[in-house]
Amino acid sequence: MILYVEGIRFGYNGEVTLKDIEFELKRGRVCAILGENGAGKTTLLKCIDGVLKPRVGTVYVEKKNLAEMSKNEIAKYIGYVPQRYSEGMLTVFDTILLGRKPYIRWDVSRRDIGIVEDTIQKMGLENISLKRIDEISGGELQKVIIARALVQQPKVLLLDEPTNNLDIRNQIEVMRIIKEIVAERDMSAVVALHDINLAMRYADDFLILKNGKILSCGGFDTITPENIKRAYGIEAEIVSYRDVPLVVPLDS
Amino acid sequence: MGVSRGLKLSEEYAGYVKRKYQFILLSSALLFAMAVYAISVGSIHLSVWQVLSVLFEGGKGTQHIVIWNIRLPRLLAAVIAGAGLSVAGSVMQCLLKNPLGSPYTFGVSQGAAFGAAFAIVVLGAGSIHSSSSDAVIVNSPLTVTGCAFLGSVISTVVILLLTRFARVTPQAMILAGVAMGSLFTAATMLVEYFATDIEVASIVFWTFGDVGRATWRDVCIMTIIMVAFSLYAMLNRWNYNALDAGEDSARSLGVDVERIRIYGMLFASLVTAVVVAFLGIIGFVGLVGPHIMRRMVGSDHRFLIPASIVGGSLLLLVSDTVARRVIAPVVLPVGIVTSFMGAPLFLYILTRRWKGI
Repeated sequence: MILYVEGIRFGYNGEVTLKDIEFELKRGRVCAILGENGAGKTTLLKCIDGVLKPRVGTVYVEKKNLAEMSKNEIAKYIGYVPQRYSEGMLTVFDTILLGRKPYIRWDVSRRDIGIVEDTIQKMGLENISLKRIDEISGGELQKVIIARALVQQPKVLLLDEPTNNLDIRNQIEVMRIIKEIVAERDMSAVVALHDINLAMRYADDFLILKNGKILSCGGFDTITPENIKRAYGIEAEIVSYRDVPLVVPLDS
Repeated sequence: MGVSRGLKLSEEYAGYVKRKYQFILLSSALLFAMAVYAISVGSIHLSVWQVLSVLFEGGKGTQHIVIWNIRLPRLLAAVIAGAGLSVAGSVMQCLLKNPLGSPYTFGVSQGAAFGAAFAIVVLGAGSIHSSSSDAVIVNSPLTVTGCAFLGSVISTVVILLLTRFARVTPQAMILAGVAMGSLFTAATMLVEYFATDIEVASIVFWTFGDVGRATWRDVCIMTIIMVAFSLYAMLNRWNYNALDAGEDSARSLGVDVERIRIYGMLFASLVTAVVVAFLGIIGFVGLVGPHIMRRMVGSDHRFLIPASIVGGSLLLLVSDTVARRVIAPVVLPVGIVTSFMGAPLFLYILTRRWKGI
């Protein structure tokens, strides 16, 4: 077990957004968080990362309680890819180098530069490494931000809708990279996704949220027409196409 | 700007970093040259060799007095104040994510001016002799700076609260700065209303912003605060870069956003307060300095902070030299020159956004 989330409860301005969220994630697995808009997916990711402080509950990574760690230490255990990236104007190289911030004392070391260099090559970003991030495409930017989280060398990677605003080729590429990295580095990823079919194709575990509560949690058997109806309020059928399960929404 | 074939990525990057440092070094050389020129020109013209020989070999007589008692403190005041205001501006722009941010546009300078005027007139921390520009003498730098700091903190706290709770746009934040500036200008006028004619005239002169009135003691105090602040800003340069990437990103990279923001703003206010307490209000240097340098070295605070130090110094030194020479023998307060120069640039930035600036 690499990640254990124990009884998280969180609320904005008196309203409860997350209620008693409890789940665990094994090493080398990709977990998809599903649910309609406003179900609490982003809030849950932020609570796991400590960007938001849950009212109750604890997050353990490799059995270590994150609440007892400094912010810098947490950043060595958890990498977070936010949904929206702000207006930073650094180069691609510098943006990824920023992921080494938890390790930098006064200045970057050769090791930091080496790690960034390797990651840039792994992600195929060599040709844009000295471009400013406002000059690159959406797909490239998403890869850069994932790379930034990776150079933190975290145990758990959290990604908030990483395929938003990407074309289908980039969606597949980004998910494939996540899957590969998780397997290679023996880490785990928690990915909030809107596209259930993308989740079915790349995730191993599923967590469906509804109104801030866990509706269902588990493997492929979690994705049933009943759960989809309860989570999204739509009728759907699950078919198999070339041995790949597909969720097909039905007109009702 | 792709990576050339055959060159390792890290080597290419090292070259990129080296070019940034070379630019800063070149600007520093320009600053030194400008400093020598600024010392040599004036009512008594001195050659570069005369300046250098008095500076490094000592000597006595008029030249020695002109350089050590008049021109050098003035020069250092311009360099230190320019650097301090410029770094304060670049830090404020980052912490509040506002391209128009600076001690002057946030009303921090005006707050400090009120505090200092209050200390001088009401608390008697300074003495007023006549109605000329160097008529105000700060007798108790601690009281004047302390009151200036309190005044500047009021503006800072208002801006911070607006950012925290009202989530105002950058433009609205500047309007709040205008409101705070007006409030403190009115408060300064109130102090003046109850002062004597000579006091009023001297405070008006004093708020113009003039580096010529700095004594060696003032220069020393400003230097200590400016160096401490610059070191603090450099220590936080990675945090500032992370903040530029957005608050969530910064938090996930281990940055304590609230703490960095509050400490940075308070420290920037202290630098502003010290400069205003000794030299008066010098507008726009904190805005223009970082902007010019951002164009040259980019937004990376590893380079932007040292570049802002050099850029702000150079800017204020050039402005002061212009102020001394433009209608010589009359010497204008440098605050007038920087405002003439800064206001058009402010409008230019206003019509654009953070990007491309």
